Amino acid sequence: MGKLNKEQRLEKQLAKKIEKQDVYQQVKLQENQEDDFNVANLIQTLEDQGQQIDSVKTQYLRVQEKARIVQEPETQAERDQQERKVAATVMKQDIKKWLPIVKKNRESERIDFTKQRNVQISKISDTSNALLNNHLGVKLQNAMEEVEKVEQKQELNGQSNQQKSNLQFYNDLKMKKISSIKSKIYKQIKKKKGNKEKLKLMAQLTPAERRKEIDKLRLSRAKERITLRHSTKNKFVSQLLRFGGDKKSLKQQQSFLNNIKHQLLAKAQLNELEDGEFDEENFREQAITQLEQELQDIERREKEKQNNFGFLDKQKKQDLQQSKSIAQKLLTMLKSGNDDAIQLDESDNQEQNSDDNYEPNLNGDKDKSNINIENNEFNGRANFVNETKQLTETQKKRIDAKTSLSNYLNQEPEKLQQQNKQEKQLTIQDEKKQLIEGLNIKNIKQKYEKQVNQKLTNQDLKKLQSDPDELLQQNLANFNLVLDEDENENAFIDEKIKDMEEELPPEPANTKGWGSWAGFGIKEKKPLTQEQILQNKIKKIREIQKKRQDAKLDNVIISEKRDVKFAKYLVPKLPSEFANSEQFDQLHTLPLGPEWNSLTSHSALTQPQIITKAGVLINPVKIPQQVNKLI
Amino acid sequence: MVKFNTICRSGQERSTNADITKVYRNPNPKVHPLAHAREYQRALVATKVEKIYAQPFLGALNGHSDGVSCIEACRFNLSKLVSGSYDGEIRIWDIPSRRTLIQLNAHQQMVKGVSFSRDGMRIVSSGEDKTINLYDFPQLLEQSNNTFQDPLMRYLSKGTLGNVDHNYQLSQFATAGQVVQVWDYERPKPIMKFQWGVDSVSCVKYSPADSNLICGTSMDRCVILYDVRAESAIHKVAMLNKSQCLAWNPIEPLNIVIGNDDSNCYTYDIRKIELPTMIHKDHISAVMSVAFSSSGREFVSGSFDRTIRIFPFNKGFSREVYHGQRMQQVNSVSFSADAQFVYSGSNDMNIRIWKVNASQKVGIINQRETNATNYRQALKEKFKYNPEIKRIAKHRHLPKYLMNKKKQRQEMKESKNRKQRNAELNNPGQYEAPKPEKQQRIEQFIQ
Repeated sequence: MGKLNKEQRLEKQLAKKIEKQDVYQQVKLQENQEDDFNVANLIQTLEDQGQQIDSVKTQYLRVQEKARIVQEPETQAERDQQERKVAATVMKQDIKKWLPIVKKNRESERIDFTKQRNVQISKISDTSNALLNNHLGVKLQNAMEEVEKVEQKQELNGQSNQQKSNLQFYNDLKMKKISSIKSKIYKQIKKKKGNKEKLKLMAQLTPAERRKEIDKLRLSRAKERITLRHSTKNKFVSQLLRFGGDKKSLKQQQSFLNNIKHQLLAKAQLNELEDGEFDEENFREQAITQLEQELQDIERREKEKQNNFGFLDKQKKQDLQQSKSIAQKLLTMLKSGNDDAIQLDESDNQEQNSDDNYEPNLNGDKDKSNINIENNEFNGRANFVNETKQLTETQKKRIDAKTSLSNYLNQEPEKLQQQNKQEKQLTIQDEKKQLIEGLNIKNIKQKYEKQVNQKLTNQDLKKLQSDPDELLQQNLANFNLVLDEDENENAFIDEKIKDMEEELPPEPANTKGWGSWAGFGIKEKKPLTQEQILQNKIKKIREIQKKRQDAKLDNVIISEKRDVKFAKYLVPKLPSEFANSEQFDQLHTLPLGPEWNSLTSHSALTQPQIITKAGVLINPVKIPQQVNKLI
Repeated sequence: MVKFNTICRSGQERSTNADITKVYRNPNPKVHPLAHAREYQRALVATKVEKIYAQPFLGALNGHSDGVSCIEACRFNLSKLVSGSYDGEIRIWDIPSRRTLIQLNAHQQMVKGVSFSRDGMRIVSSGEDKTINLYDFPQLLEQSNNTFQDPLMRYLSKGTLGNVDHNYQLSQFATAGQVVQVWDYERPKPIMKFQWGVDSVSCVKYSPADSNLICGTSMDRCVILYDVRAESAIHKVAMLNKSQCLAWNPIEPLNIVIGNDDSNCYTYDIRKIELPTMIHKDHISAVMSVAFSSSGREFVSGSFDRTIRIFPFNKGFSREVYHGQRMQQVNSVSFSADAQFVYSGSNDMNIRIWKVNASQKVGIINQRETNATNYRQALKEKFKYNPEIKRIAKHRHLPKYLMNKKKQRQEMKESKNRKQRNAELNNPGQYEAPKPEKQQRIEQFIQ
């Protein structure tokens, strides 16, 4: 290579010199023209005279060119620089032969210097293999891979033999253990597996053969059924155990009374619309007949065959008695014509619906409503009850659940207006509640308020007639949601705000004169009013609210405090070696100890990256022979 | 007569194969919720134990009557070490017995450099008296009592000399000095001379993998690369401070490390020598000597600040720092060929032997023990980012003067940054973004 380079270098130098010389010569020729006599002039004059002197001319030109090259030597610095440039290019090309080796060493999981080998076996990621683009690079790479393959083969042969013998040994052990298993479940599982395989085989058979096989299977299943005790854990039995019967039928029973009530309501509404007047007698008769039917039904069910489970029967009896008593009460009231009683009952029923908890104690409910009025905690509900009471006093209007509901709804906007007026006078508590703007609960409430406020159209009412259950129930549920200013909810919001308040930085002591300029012409700042301070505080809290993790989760408070005890297991900051936390976790979730790994994997996991041993010399890298030949 | 065949067993011996009961464990991680916590505890204990058992200093080789200027461990024999001192004396040591094998009054002035040949048979030394001595090791052993042995060859240099480095493959060696010279055993005059610029070269080193490349550091703050084939230099890079030492990475022969007077070490890739690829910081004074481990994964540096530091080849900060109460400024360091020990020659006339891994046991270690240490190391590696473990593993006791200086430097650095920041803030648009530190350290690249 050295020789080649020398030649190249010479050529380059020559080329440069010629270029320079050309310029020099031109200048010189111009000077020469002024001279009276020289060889060029002589040749020209001879040519002009018509003599043939071509050979002389060519000879002269050749001599001139040679002289031109020799005439102007380069400076030492220039020559050195050129030499350095050539040397640099040679070095850079030459050094490329180390790149694959360096790359391999860097990428390998482990370098074992105790083997006294310079090139280590390792996996090279194929994607990052576009190291060298020239032919030599590719050749080098291939040669390296071949070396690797041969070495791997040699290693693998030894390894595979050992692995085989190990595997056989373990298999023998396993078979021994399997033969000694006595578990029934294990055998069942095994049988099932076998059956599955059989089925696969069956698919390949002809229809006639298949039939035979199926018959055989059936027989075997029948035998199994007879011999084995089945566990009673199917759906029917589990439901029977839990609810004392089919879940569907139970639900139907529970909603039966409600259905009747809604039908009654719907009819009342319709009659009102169509006739303008409510046909009281007709309605009453219908109701009575329905209730009588229901009573008969209940009696029939009481006579039905009892279950084997005592506690279920008891439950069933209780339920039936309750429904019976309610039906009987309704009947007596209808027959006696006491409207007030009906009204009360039905309002109770409403409450039952909305609460979703079936509370059979009617007297208890009444007590509750009274308490509510006294406490004035649930304004909506208290009003509702109060209203009904007032109406009962008048006793002149026709009353049912629907009218009372609509009455309430008509009053709602007025109430809201009142609330708005109250809001104008800001108190701290109100402001706090305002902070929870955009909470989902509020949104939902507003949505339902709108729904409730909508007056029922004719279409809706017709719908009510056809399917009274759904729409009414929905409305009632929404209605209840609007009414419910839940105690827990408020407490939760308060807690959340308290949490945010704790995060506020401590306020500086407001000492007069501090932090303000003094002197003539300076306007005195007015101290902040209580309201301004409050508003500032609210602003700050809002900012904190935005930053919090639970800003968008209204029903959640996420504690962002650090658990000191647990902190020692965690890393406070993502190390710069990792791109994201998942990467970091993935590397560090795997336990290394022998308790959680097999012995082989444990030793593999804990091997150091570089293995050296005292007394084993490590030689500098060498290029493998196969590669060296190529170079 | 009745004969009894008695079977005697001691209590510790197991009677049958059936006594070994295999313990079956469920590998499902859900069954082991405390695995992480347990391993963390183990890692913590491992780091603490390592600190307790860290005893890096193995012993000192004393005998020189002046400060040790240069040392080199044999590349072929683990037990041999050669050292030169300021009074011109050369000693060859047997490390296991810690005694001098051969003592030579080789030079009339300070010994600038010593080097073993690749096969360990020849020793070259260069002195301030402009002479280079070539010794034959077996011949020296024959007359080990004679301190005035004649060398196999004595070469005379025209200019002053720096260190000497033997070629790894050929019977050639290179010397630094006013002119970088390449010598052959058989020639009385240098076979090649390199000169670029006026100032002399303080240190030259052959590439261990490539016998044609020589790298040198010059007094005019340059790092120069030479090619023997081309008979010329290749290129050089001028830094802000001068460098006194350099070392080639033997496993990755593209990389060199130089020790600079600004107390940092710099890693260069010789393909792109325009910028250092890494700056290794931790010393507080000029780096006098660097040596690469033969594994190519770490290098050791000795400094004027009386410490030795071991740096990972790809990390900016040192892994280990060694210092002794009586150890003065370190002039020369060397790695043993098995990458297990570090030797340091210092101004206090001693050569010290240090372990590379401070807590590693010296001597025969059985398989169980190596497995246990491997596990401990793996755990340490796994939990190295956890603050507690990081703190314990990182902590090194340092003498007061070092600590104070370190603090001072930190303060200086902070105040400088602060000043820069304030200037930028107060004069917006007048300052350009500061250059990266690697770029700041480089003055010029000359081709």
